Amino acid sequence: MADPREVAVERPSLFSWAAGSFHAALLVAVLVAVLHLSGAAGDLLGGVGTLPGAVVYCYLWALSAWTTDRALAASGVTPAAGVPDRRGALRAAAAWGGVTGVLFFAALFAVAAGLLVAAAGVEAIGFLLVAGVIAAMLAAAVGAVVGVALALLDVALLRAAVALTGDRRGADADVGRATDADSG
Amino acid sequence: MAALHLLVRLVHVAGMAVLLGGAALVWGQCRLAPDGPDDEPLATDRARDEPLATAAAYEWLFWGAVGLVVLTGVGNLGAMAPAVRGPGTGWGLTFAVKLAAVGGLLAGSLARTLAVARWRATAIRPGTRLGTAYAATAGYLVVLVALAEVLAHG
Repeated sequence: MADPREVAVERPSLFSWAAGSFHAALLVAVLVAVLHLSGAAGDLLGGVGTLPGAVVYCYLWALSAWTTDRALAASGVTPAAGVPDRRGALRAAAAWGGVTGVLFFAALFAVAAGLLVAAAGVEAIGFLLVAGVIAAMLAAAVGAVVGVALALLDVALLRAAVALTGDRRGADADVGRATDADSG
Repeated sequence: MAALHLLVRLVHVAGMAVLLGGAALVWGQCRLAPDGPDDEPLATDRARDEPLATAAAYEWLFWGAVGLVVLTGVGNLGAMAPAVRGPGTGWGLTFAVKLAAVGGLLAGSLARTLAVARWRATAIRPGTRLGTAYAATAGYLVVLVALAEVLAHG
């Protein structure tokens, strides 16, 4: 029987496509839930418009699929090998979560900045540069925190998947150690 | 604008049809596949291996369809924006339950997708677990469709 740690992984993998799509869909569902529970869903979503909303969602989806694939490639996490290095996986999640936050913010900021410059003139560029750098740093921090939270959720769901398959070989670092001790 | 909203609803319903129909298809294929020993290596019996191959193809499609269903679901909500009722109403409570159910579908489905990927990567036979996973998915999706019906017409 094949050693699960030696299985080659194609990129993008089913894991990265599924996890990237999962992250984007979950973030939007949580956002809609928060808006609904605060009573602001109707006003805010009605004001965004169908086409701009669809473009923003597709951008987040594509961004999430790409950065999730990069984070999984960097950490070596696969359904077969499990989580070889939990700290390394969380570091990769924080780094690529930060990238997601900055790139998502940058696209929205570019549109808003363009509209502001068109309305207020080039004098607004100085203010926009300072505000943009500060906001980008904030977006990176928020993205890193969200990335780590989603990575922890992914690891929990990977454990659930391992339980579903009924085969715990190489499921994660802890299970790997237990298996080695048993075999020794 | 009316044509755009119609398109959004069409994609939403079509996406849900892919999710539910695909899960039911894999479940049905699992039930029709021949029995055999679970310790037999994968890829030795094509008829027995077909449900897992179909499941893997479905999982790629599933996450694309889920993305479209969530996108168009939010679009639907925006289209009916002035009529969206608050969380204190019966409609609002049903909608909150549906959002929680969608979260459950997303999380449970990622676990199912990872299980399918693990079965294929390790060449381990899933046995009856594969059919059970897709039966549960199909049943869960029927509940979500019922909630959507309540929201649209209730």
